[in-house]
Amino acid sequence: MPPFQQISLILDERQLLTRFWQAASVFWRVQTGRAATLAIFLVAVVLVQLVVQVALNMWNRRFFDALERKDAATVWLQAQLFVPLAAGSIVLAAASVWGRMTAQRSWREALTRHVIEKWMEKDRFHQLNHLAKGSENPEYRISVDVRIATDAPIDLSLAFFSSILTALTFFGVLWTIGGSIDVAVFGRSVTFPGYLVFGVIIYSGMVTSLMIVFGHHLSSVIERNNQAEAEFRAAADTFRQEPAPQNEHQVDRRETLQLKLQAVLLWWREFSWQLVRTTLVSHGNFLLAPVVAWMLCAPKYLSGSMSLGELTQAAAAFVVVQGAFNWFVDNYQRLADWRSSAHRVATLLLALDELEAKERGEKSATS
Amino acid sequence: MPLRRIIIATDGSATANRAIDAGASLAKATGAELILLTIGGSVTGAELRTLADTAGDLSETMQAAADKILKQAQRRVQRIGVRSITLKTGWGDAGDAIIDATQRSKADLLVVGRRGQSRLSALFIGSVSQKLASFAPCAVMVVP
Repeated sequence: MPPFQQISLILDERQLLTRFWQAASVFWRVQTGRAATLAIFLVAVVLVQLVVQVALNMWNRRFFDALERKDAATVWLQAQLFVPLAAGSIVLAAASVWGRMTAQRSWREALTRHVIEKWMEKDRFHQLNHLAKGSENPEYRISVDVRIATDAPIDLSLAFFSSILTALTFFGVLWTIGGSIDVAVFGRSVTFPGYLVFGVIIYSGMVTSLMIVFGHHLSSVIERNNQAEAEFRAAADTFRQEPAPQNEHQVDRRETLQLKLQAVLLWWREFSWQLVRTTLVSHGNFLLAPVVAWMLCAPKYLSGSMSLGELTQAAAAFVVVQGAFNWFVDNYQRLADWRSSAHRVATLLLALDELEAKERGEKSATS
Repeated sequence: MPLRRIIIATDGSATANRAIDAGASLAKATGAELILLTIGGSVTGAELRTLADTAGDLSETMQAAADKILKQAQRRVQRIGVRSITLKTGWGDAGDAIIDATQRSKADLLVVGRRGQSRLSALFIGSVSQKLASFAPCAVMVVP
């Protein structure tokens, strides 16, 4: 038995995330050229996608205006124009998938190699199995948790960047197309400039508030569910490694395995209830958002100050902006998954750091 | 048939306490070894959400609740005068877990209360005691 004390890891959130980013940044520090090229490519794709999205939004207006005028020539022209726009959008979507997955694969490779190197050096994997508490199941952490921890940041940050740009760009569309509206308040006419922009902000605020009320436990439940799954795997792994299958100790381990399974099932049950609750809001929003946009535009359309094309363009822009505002709500689950995986990778790294520090201490003591 | 080992399943309810009294008296009279069994893991959604928000440990909470039921049962049995007691905890579906524990412990008699705490679920899916009476691998004593 190696001369190490047992390591017990009691760590706080900041310590874990700092250690994770310290290790995860290895890709961006060591392969700077490749990382920067991929990052620039992905940002460029987001920007061009936004341009195509705006073009499609404007196409919407021209197409429906032509329909309203029964202008067959323009309808045919717009139908032809749709082909390159749609083709561009499809190609960009494919390019985005390639760019994201290439960046994710490269990042995962760099971090996995970094962790494996530390894990294998001086047979630390063997010492870790016996001595470090809080870093059970290292194989799973190296394979699955590293993948989740490097996949999610790229998808999430790109989606966030895209959401901000989309919201800002389509604010302009809503402000220009929607213009102002006059509303009678206590017998006096009051003008609301850019009313669609304020409408989408108020509506999105209400949806987000409802989502927070209905799903405010979701993030912590997902984390606990992931943790329970990890503990169940660790218990199964321990059970498998038991050398004498029929002794009393094994009976305890069987009970532990059943207990951990029960915990997984209970967290899963709560997770499904949380999803049911949030689906009430998200699906309600899916149905309601376009209708709210049409209802906000209807007074101007009915009064003749907005064309059918402008109405459809404004409604589409409203839905796009509202979707951009939903970034946090839409990514609740992935954020929680990322956090728990990053925690588990960091816990393993800190356990390996402890072993490394003890090795150095031993070496200096013997020399 | 000699009674060498009796297993009593308890969920801490009044009915289960009557089953404990009956089973323990029988164990004392026959000199049989007594196993006290509880099936843990019934946690409400509200309890889970509290645990999620306070970083409480679900496994520890469930284990503590099961231990509490077993310790209370143990004190009850000791008052009756039985000394040879083994405590066991099972997890998951109560009927399946009790049958599994009965098989593993090679008990000659299983003692259960007629109705546990979960009356509503018993109404819809059939009571645990009915399942045990049909499928247990040994004699079953159902205490009203």
